[in-house]
Amino acid sequence: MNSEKNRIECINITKSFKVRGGAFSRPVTLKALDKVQIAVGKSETTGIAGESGCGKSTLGRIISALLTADSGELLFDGRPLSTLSKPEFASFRRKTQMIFQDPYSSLNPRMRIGDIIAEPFVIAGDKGATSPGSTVEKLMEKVGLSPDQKHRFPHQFSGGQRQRIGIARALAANPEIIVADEPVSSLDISVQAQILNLLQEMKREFDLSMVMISHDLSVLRHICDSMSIMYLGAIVETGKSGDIFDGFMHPYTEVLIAAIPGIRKREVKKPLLKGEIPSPLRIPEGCRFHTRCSYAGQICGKLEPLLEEKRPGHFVACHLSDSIFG
Amino acid sequence: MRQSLLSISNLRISLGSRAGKIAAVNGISLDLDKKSTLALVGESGSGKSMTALSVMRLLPSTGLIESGEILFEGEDIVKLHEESMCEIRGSRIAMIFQDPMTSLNPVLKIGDQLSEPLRLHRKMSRKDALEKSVQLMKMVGIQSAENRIYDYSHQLSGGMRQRVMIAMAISCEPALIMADEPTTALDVTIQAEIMELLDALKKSSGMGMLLITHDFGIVAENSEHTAVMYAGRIVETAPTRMLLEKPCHPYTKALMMSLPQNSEPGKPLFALPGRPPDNSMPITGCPFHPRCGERLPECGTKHPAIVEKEPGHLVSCWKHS
Repeated sequence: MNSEKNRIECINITKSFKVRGGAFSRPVTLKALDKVQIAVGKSETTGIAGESGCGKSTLGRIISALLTADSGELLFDGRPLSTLSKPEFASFRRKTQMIFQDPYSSLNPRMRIGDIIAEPFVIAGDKGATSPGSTVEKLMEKVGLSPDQKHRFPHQFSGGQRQRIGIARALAANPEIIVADEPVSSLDISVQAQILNLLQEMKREFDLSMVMISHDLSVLRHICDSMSIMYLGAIVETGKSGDIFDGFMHPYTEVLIAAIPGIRKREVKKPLLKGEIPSPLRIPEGCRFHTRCSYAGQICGKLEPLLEEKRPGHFVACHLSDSIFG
Repeated sequence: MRQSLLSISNLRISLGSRAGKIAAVNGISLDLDKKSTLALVGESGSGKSMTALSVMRLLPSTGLIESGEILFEGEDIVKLHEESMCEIRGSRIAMIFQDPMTSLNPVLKIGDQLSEPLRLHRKMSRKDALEKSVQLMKMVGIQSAENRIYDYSHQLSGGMRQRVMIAMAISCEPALIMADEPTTALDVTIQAEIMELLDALKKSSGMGMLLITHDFGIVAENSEHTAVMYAGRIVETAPTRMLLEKPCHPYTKALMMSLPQNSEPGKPLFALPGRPPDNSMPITGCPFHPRCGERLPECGTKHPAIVEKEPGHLVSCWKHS
């Protein structure tokens, strides 16, 4: 990967958490991310998809430096984060902003929304941010809120409006990178369309690079340039979104895409998964997907497949992808 | 006239609040036959969950059925005594809720929860009910059910919990099942499995299903008929295929156009401007007219009547009258 064009690059990121099984049991290690590689190009939108518990939110938090990785390196404009000086790190923090899934719990219920949006300015030392005609009001207008509403509290807004507040707050810091964790999954269809359009507009206007985390592949297909599919803490397929959607080469991606209920009549029967998702505490040996894969062969239970470039820019971690999808 | 399984006519439900009465459901009528699925689609606040709850007579304490009738197997549920309702609820009509985490009792073992309706409605002994519970759990695809009956709900995954909910709902072989967003809290892969399971159960037992959802994909794959709700009213209803291929009401069209699947990647999505109306205010004219792109002069003054565009395809819109 060409690191000059990439705003953010993750190299072999590994992250585990200690969890306790019960009150008296010894803590066990949950491997949330296993040697994850991902790159976010300048002015690009990258999607991360997968089922709940696959580690996509953990990855989002590592990219925005809310969590630190156990090992591996996060490069920002080609420079490892660990080598940045304190002020440089602070500026990285400011340049990377997050938008959260739940617009109900991610806004402080006791703050007026003008103050919520102004907080990044206040932190930066600009006390007059909420005054009339100020940047806060301009931002509110930009995301489709009326500036007279700045004295209201979050509970006085609907879900879609709250998500707009979250977006305005993220933009207030004048970021270069936005990490959006399921920004539309709790919204109604028509509101979802409004928010997706707003994100697209803002991305163009502020020349943002974006990481979009979602379990909804049709949303990712719509707004992402590239996407990565995660399963149990590892990326199993990554490439341009069109390539993945129309020419997937991993059995898990096939299952995910086939599972999207479609409006048009479907001729082929959905391939369903076998069994339940294994516990992340006991990730299967060999290919982590082989226990549920309908194509699995002998080798799959023994040897872990690595991400290989099967087509230009299209990486797949599957021993059998050539024979299945070739 | 042939008797349908569930027939709702002119149902009005109000919800009391500090601001006064809110018309949550505003005169809806619908019919559901045995062995078929009617999908109720709409955005939050459109009244679809209230409709389902009223059929179970489980409206919140502030909710009130103002008028209309709900005929279930020919009997008007609205007029039933609470005692007779208790006999129907869970036995002849069952409900599957959206969130299996909050709708299962966390301090009861799965087996005991599953046994409860069987012991209550079928007067089974504890032992027989537990045996039947194991059978039911196997039927909905839960492995090692013999051990799982001793688990608590927090020990199960989201998909498993929803399977338990379904097992509980079908335990007394109801004639009607109401599924309120049964898969919204689940991953797509599990969603596909759950919908397939519900479909198989419907075919084998001949029950009817009222499926509440906001996902047109689910509607397309799992229902025979669809009714679209907006601001407490049904604005369009038709056989599902017909509705998806030739939607007539501007609201239905707008919803379908705003799906990412229906637009070119990277292009802006069609976004419906504005918000649904505030139900506490009286609405003059068509409730959708302030957001409608095909508005006519009469839309703001009179409520449109329901017209039959094609056999079975009803729409409430001035453009089609």
